[in-house]
Amino acid sequence: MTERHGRSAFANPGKSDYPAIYHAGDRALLVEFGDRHSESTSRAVLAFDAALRSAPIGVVETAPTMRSVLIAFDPLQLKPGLLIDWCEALLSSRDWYGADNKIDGKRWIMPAVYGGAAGPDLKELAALAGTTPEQVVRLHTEIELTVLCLGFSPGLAYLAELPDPFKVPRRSSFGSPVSAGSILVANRQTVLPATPIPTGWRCIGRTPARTFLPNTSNPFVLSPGDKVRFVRITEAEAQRFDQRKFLEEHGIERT
Amino acid sequence: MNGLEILELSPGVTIQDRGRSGFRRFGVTGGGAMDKFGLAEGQLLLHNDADDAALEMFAVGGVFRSEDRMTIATSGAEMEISVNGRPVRWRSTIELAREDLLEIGRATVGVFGYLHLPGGIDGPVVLGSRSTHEPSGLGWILEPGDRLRPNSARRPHQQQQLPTPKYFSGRTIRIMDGPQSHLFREQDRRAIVSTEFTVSSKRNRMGIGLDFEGGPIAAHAGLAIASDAIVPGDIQVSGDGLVTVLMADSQPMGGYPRIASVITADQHVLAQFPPGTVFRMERIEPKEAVEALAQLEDQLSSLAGEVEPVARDTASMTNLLSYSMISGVVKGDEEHED
Repeated sequence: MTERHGRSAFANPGKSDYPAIYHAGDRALLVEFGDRHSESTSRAVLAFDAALRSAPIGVVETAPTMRSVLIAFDPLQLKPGLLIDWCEALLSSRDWYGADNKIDGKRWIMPAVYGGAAGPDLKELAALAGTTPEQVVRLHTEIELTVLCLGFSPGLAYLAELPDPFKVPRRSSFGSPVSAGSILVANRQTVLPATPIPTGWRCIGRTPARTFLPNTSNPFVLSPGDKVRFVRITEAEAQRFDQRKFLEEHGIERT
Repeated sequence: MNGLEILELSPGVTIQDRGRSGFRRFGVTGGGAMDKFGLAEGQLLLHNDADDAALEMFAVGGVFRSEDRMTIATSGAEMEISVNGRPVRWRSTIELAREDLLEIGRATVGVFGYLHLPGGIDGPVVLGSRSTHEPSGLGWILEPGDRLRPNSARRPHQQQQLPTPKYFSGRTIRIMDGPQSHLFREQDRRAIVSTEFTVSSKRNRMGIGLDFEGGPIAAHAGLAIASDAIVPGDIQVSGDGLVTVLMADSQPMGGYPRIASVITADQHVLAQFPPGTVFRMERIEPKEAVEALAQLEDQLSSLAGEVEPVARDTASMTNLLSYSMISGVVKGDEEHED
């Protein structure tokens, strides 16, 4: 049977399988908070990831996913058993799923052009959701989304949680690649790629903001836990978009 | 600084160092050399730093022209190699003169070979590494006509070589359970260590496909789970039962369940298996995986003691001459065949 650690009913009453600590290869531990994304799982993931800033020496990096936190470490510097003990103690120190676990991420106002060439799938998505394109845009812009994690490709952000009409599955196959800044939706989430990617998600719009700036000192604009609110702009306004001003308005100095 | 001009290049040739660290939370794959032991051999031969970058060649190399006198070195998978049509030794330093033609053909032992320049290959450092990550366009995507420049001037020293390491003949790959192992049926978990696997031709820096006979290995309950973190070495079972070991360039997250993970100490061994290699997997405990990693580090530390001056050995030179030197380089379209 798989070695499992830290199944702490105390930390998560009623769901005794989580949180759980696993070996993920010999140079990482994976702390799982649920088997899928949910609001409380996400809260736990982001709060626990933030708490890992005080992790012992030997931890190389940590990375949240939608339901877990990966802790990469050097096992020749830090014994896995010691790190597991440390994680178990941290896990049982509070209720990670609780609503009082606030994540202090940055707040972003992200300009977006919806529909037309910028969002070729807006009409199709509206039809699948049984509503109008205008209503889709209204719902997409009136809610503040949380960056759950980044993955798949550099800087690609997973944002949640959109309301029910966005509970539309991905297409079963990949279409032609979409450009960086495409606003993709499926499964009540928005994906914001920072580089061109092939995708089965439907594209409803595009932001002129670049979120991956490889040759700067802050190459990644978005971090896990950040909040994003989309604001509708016109194609003409997108043409005039000023990336430097956008970053400065959000407290990031030009680098 | 003058270097090597790339005249011809086989698919899958990239720049690699030890990879990226610290950007996983932003969706960035670690990458780095598929055979970090092989990479380290060449660094030793040229007295380079452990973090210097080399040219990684996937099954077939390329043709290069030297723009100046230079000491270079080769390591990793043994490949057919000649200077101006004259075979030279693999896993050794090579003195090049200006306008020398360096031809690197097919791998004859292993898959991933390395070409090293003094001080490592210069090139753009993206997110702390010179490694090419082709799927996301990070780093230098090489093309014929590009020039590989050394980071330091030519350092003339005695010609040096290393013996062929033993891992090329290993046929057992050690694995350990991971976060999703318990989602597989006991029969599938048994099958993974009782089945003979064959390395398929579907392989690249992202993953190595495995063929096997006998009953299918099924993902079952694992298919219902949401995406989770991937670590290099993860053995993924997809919905249609395809078994793939995810390697250096795999995405940082994935939705298919992983039945186990190849331990770090054996990942370079697996990477060097040519298609058709038959091998078995052996399940070990996490503690043993860390011990194996410590042993590998010890081997790397003692490797310097194995560096020896190149001896004139006419017998092996005759043997080298029998290789068909550059087959494959010119066609360059059959990188998987063996």
